[in-house]
Amino acid sequence: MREKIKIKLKLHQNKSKGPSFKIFCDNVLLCEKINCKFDQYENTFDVELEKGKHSIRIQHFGKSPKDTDSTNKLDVAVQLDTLSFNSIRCSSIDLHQNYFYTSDWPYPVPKKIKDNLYFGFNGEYEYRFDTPSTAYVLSQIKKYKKEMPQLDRMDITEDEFLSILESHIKIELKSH
Amino acid sequence: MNMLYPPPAPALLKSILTANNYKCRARDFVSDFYYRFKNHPDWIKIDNWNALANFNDEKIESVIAGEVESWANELVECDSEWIGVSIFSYESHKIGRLLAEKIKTLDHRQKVFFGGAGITNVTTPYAETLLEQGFIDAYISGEGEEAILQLAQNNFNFPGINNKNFVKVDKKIIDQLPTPDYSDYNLSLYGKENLGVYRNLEKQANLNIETQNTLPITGSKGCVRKCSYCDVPFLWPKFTHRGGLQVAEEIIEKSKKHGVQKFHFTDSLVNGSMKEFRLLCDALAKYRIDKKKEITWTGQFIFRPNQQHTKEDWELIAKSGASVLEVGLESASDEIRFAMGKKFTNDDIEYELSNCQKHKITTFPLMIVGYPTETEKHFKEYEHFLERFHIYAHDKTIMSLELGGTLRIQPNTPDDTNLPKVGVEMIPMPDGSREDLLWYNVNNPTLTLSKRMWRRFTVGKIAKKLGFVIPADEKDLRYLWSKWNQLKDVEAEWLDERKN
Repeated sequence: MREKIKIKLKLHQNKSKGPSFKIFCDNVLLCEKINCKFDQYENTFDVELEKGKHSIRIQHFGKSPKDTDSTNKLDVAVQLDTLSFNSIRCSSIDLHQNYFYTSDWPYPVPKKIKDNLYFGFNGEYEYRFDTPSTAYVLSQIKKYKKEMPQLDRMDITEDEFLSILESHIKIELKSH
Repeated sequence: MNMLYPPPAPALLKSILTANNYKCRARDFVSDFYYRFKNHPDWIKIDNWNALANFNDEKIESVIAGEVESWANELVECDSEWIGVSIFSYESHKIGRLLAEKIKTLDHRQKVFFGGAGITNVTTPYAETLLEQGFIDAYISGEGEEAILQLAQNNFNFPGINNKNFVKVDKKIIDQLPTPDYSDYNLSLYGKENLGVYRNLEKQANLNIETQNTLPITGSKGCVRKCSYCDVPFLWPKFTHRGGLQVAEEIIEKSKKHGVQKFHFTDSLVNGSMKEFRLLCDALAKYRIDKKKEITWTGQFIFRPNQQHTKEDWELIAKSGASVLEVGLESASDEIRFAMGKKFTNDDIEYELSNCQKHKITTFPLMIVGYPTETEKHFKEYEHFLERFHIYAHDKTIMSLELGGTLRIQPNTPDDTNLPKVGVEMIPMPDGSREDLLWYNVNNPTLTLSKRMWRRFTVGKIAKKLGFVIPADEKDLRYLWSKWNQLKDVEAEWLDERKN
């Protein structure tokens, strides 16, 4: 089945260098950018995928710790802004639930990082999904939707509600 | 949701698009929803699922989702460039989103846009969020008469498309608009059952109103009043009338074309311009008498002070076929009513009702219990008010009463601007969003959410004992019970923080 995958990245650069990154769907390279000097990158990929499990990987590479310019508050990094499947945008919470796996870094850093879409180390962010992707994204949105307190019963009578309200008003008068 | 008349907005937009050489088909899924589920054992839950944001029973959702999927299938199979969905109020938010989801799941290339009052006059960024999430491809705020043609030409820069910066439709354009085209609807489905507040008419044979089809009609936009709680003047800053004779002609033409004799005005008020209103009534009265036709009409009406409606006016209104007038009385207290911008007294009400009684015109008063400045003294006036006017309920001059869901302070209303000056604050929801029902008046501190709801249902009990009918009582009860459960703790925490 054809799936349209749209990726929007924010790109961070210092005075002389922009980030380098590759985007894969499963093991197929969709795009590669070296020393990218734009503020953002946006592209839509039309891919053929079998029904089942797949992944999108965003690989950030070629950065050295010295690329971070603390004095001028500049950094070389890739930040995932939005990921959409067939025009439906993934839930931000869902994106944060997937891991960034660090690699090729001279100092000790965690092997994997969650809850962060700012990819400041070298490594790879992986978003796993199922196809048909629209149904998958919708189910993830539903899963992470902020739920308000649920109404457990609807069969209230007027007298019952009035009595509940009267008790509540008494408590309010005491406490406020 | 009711089945009094078919939805006019899609019918009007169809006629505009058709006149401009676009193909368009109008579908009413409210009617489908009602006839599909009305005999379902869980009908009450299914019906309320729409209105109650915090009611998400999985079984009910699955039943509704199945039906919505069949609508999405039908729409996608039309293979149209755009599918437009009219969202009438917040009650259509859940089902509108579900429909957009289903359409996009079936065919993600299918373009979808939303429009209507339910995306325009709401506090929540409903359409904005759906657009951002990719469930819709565009939305139209404000009136769609001009914007839909711009959308059809892919002009997304037109005011009101994908933003709330809509502009009022010019009177010249309104005057040139074609009349709504109802040819896609099955008109025999409307005006017979599930009539909302008009359901009592079914049972009142003495009102001589048969269960026949009803068509909506629009004579004017905007309002001549600036009531404190109302956002109509913001949406339509200037009252604009199409002309009484022109509206009467449309009623007569529609009656001949569709065989319909009942009309419902969608106007904010039918008697905003007394000059045009008299012309309308006169033309209808002559047609009814000359042609011996039983055309009747219903609609929103304002009571005026100091006998501004003369006895001759009332006679003419009756002869024109007025059957039910929806009237905003709003409060039992003159003081509160004046604070709301309603410049008539209980004595004026008595005069107007006595004329309705004389001419066998029935009324449907609308009230708002729990205005921010309503004190115990004002509240006590309800009992006297209901006792004074209950004789009109007995002979059905007052067909029924709408007590509503207490005051919502809506954006773009005088209340929203002016009430903070007298100590009223909006209580923010935990996520920072606004909830129109959740406010607090530091100068009337015991009028909490619970107190307002208590007053609403206490007034209801008194009214029912005196013989008033409150058709929306059960729906209000479920809605306010749901809202109270959702909001009471938010209010309590806010008050605690304030105290500390």
